[in-house]
Amino acid sequence: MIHEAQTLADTAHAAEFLAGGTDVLVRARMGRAAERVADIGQIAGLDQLDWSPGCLRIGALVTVERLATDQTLRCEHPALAHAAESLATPMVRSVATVGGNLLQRVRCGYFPKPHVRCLKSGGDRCHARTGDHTNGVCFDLGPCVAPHPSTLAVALIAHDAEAEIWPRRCVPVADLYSTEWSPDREHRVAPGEVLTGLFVPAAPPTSMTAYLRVGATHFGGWPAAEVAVRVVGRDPVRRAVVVAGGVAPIPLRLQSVEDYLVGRRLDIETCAQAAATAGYEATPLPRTEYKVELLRRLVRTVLTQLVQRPTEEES
Amino acid sequence: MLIHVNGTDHEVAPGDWETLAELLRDRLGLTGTKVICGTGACGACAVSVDGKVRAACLVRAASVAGKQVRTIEGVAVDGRLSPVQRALVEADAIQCGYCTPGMVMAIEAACGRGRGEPSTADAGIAARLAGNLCRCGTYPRIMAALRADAGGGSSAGRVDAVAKVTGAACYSTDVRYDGQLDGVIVRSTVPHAIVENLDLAPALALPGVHGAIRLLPPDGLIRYTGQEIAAIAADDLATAQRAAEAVQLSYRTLDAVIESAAARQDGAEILYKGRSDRPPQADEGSLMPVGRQGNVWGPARTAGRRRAARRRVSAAARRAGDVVVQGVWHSAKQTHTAMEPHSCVAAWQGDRLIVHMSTQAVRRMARYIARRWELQEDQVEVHAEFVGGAFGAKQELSPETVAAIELARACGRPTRVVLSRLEELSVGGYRPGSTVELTLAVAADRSITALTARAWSDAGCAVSTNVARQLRGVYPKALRDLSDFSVVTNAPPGKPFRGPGGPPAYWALEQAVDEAAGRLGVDPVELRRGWDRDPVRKGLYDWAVQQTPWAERDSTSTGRWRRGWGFAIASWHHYVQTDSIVDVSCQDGVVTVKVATQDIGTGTRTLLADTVRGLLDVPQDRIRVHVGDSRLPRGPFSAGSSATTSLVPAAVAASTELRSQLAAFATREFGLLEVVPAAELLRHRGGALTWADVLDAGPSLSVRGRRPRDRGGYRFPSFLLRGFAIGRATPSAAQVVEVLVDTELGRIKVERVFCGVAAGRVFTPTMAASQCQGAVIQALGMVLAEEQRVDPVTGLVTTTDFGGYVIPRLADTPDIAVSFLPGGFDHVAQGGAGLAEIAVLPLAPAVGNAVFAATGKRPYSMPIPPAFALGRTP
Repeated sequence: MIHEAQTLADTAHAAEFLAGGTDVLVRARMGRAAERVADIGQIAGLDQLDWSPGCLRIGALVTVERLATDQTLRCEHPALAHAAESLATPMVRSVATVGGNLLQRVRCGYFPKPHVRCLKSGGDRCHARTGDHTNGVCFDLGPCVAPHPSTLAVALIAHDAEAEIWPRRCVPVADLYSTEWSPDREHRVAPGEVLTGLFVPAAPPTSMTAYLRVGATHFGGWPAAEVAVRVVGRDPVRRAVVVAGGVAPIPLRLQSVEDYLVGRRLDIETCAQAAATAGYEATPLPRTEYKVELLRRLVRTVLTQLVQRPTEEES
Repeated sequence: MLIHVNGTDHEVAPGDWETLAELLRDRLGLTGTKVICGTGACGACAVSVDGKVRAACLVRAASVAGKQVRTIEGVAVDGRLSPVQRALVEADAIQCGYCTPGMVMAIEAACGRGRGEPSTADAGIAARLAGNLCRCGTYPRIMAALRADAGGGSSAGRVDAVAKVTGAACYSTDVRYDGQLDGVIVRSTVPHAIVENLDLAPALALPGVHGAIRLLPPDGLIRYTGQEIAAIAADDLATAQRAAEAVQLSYRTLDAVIESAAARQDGAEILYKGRSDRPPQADEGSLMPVGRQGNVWGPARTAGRRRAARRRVSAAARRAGDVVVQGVWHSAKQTHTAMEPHSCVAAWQGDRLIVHMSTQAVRRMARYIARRWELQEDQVEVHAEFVGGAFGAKQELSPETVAAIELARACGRPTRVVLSRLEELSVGGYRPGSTVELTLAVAADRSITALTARAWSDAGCAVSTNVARQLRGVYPKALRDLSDFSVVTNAPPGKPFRGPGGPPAYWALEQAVDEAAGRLGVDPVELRRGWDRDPVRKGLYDWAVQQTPWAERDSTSTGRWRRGWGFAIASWHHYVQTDSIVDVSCQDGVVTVKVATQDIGTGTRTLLADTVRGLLDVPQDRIRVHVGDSRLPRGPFSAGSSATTSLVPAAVAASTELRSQLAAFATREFGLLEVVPAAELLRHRGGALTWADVLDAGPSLSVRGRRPRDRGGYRFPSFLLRGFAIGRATPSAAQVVEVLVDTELGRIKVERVFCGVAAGRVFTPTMAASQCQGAVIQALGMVLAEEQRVDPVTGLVTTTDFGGYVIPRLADTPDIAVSFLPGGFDHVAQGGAGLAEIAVLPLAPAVGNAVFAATGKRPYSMPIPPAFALGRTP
């Protein structure tokens, strides 16, 4: 049953929210949506980009297309815009929302199928683990081997974004996710809460960001792996945030890469050495070995892009 | 609620989960909006909502209350096509047409209503159309249509192009009778079992449900997950789906073997045991029965000096200077996934049965249906007015048709059964997977001495022994030892797919030849030229050297970005359906062509119109082509690249005779003297008449033309091969491919493909080139991305949406230049063999050879794995 919510309070009894429909509508056809769904698409005030000094607020109902095409955003946070325009297809982006992207269910060859009982649909085992996990994780951090599906989470974490959660809390986007197991969601927004927006702090003057993915097709597919980075300072690097998607059940901070970069001069050699550490903690499955090397290459390539690039301050 | 669609208001009450696509198609009858994937990934259901393009399958119908919706039916105004529609028609950017409405809507949104605007720059448009999938591979034509200089095509376009760009074309999925029910199929959730109890009563008890039938074999045996067990018909799809859930079912499960490696092991459960217990064929045509050992069927051996061939290999291995190339090549299962799913609408009218189905064989289906339901053939009508792609998967009486016919009978109402994309990608058919062990021996003097190949196919619970045998004719100087095996498993059955058996065979052979050339230090084209006697193939080597950049190719084999060139050549069979008949008649000033064949996107309707007009030049609006109806004169089914070469000579015979009869009619009617009929005009002593003038005088004539025999007869007569003869000709294709490899991220981009095709006379060059480009694009998917995967325990197909099963998109499409080499087929009636399949065959090995040239690594598995092209670890 779908309830058309007019206010945030209207969502109280829903087990799942529907906005752009790219996830819930498709799952509903497979019998994999919750019984009680709130359509939050009409709730006022959640579809705005609000610029204030030092901070951008992105409403949860802002579409991915808007993120990809907003001119100011492209100037201020190019990697975020790039991540947005890299995901899915134009018609999906035009309705998919930022909130929906962050909180969508996993994409997996087993989970959404009617008649399949996996860990996330009332069953007691992950079929992909023993079966087809070609697109699965190479950081095996939980019982389910499907990678977290959110590209925007990867980019937003690299941008130090915070999530605004109704009724009253604000957490770093990274804290929306946890390897703590939950069969019915891939995030930590609790029942009764609603993700209403994101805060993206203005980039410090010496900050540089980049985003890159590799997938089977040029546009439109799911990534085999994706990486968003932010580096503050160049010589030495004062802070680094390196986040990988498509490789773990959460958007994954690559701590070893970040640690290597901080305190060093950002040059090609440093990028290569830092990237080499990217797979240190990887625990690939039999068919996801390739992702570990792919991840190293992505990290190296994306960091190398920053070496030649002027910082926000210099430009 | 009120919604405004194409300027008209409708009062509707949609359900909670009803999508705009369902509302438009099922409630408002606007079936131009197609549903292919149901997940927003294919773009076929694109519509405009308040001026913005939307995938209608992702829009809840309730959310468009009060909004302005424009569908494909609202794009042309007063019968005038929009510039985008016109551009697609003129550039022949249409094959089956099932994706076309969505393509039109997306292009309208992406670059306004004009064309040639700056916004249509290639890179930008490729990104903007990334969500519009076309399985026929019309992408190069779509790009051509978008460029200002479009017009490479015939300006009039296909005879059915307007119907396709306006959404008027009615496919089997779009047929709707009054009181029509929707049926769904209940499928097995286990791979190997015996159904012990099947109770349909709980489903039948639900409101809105009108009937249920069993689809199980008599012994109740389940051979794969997804196998059809029963079917339910209800007022609408959602009700039928709920009812399907209510069916009570209990299984006695049996040990299952899903993967072919497991099926070959000692002690594996034997899947076909009894003497008469034989798996179905996944190939076209009749094949010699083969023996079996456990789950391995075979060997099917090709005649040849097998032992001598093996001796030559061992001798060459010992002889210094000789080269022996040995390798094991793998090919994954590739699914057809035609844009129109398997679909059927069946209606019983008294003791007559009317069946609309998405098929590539209307006449054969009518025969099969008559036999199965014990009807006279004239009690059955099979219609396939438009078919949204087939590629080999739609030539049998498949379960959705059985279900629709049985349900229609049980319920006494017309019933439609349409596979979902999940079903289509699970059980709709696939090219069998294969492993080919191939050995090639080449003497130091560069002559080929021996070729041995053993192929193991994996066609699930069906058998396919058709790979190694494809190599029986090529490079004739080699002695050969070729054998085929098929391993049966508890996976869905494979089906014939465009050039069945060919791609895995050439994937191995043409890479092995390239390897031999490399070891001998000779040009791969020249090495092959020395082995070939066939003049057609010799012409292709000349073409590659003289008319492509092959001779000046430069490889870059260092650094991050590598460039490489590859060459491969392949031959196919010249199949003819020798009993084809075409009826050409005239009445009321109009010429009508009738034949029981179908246009699956290749352009058969247009081919027939063009052929007739080539002999009897009447304006396009004076010619009608009726196909897609089994009651028409006996025509070919669309398979084996044989429809065109079967139809054209019959149409020529009929048109020539009709022209003579029209000339005689005009002589009498107008008292003409010394008449000389020509294609353009009827000349006579006093001047000339146009054929339209003659038709205006009201002749009513009807002529049947039969396909004449090829001169010199056939290599293999048609009665052995279900109506197919194998002719004495070797249609061949060669391809020169340029790839760019990013060794840092492992990406392989095929940048240019030069495709030379030698099949004799080409009747409609624009459409023929489009066929070849489409073949290249399907083969590109095969070598770079496509892989059907099956869970090894549950037998569940896991690649069941376009996120998991990746087919090529517009942005993945290289430049594809197609050249037709004339000549070589003069003995064939009308001088032309078929060409829909050959262009599929050389592409994969040509890409493999180019990747090797660029990286020094030879790919043995296709699709080439994602990390294959990664350079050395940094």
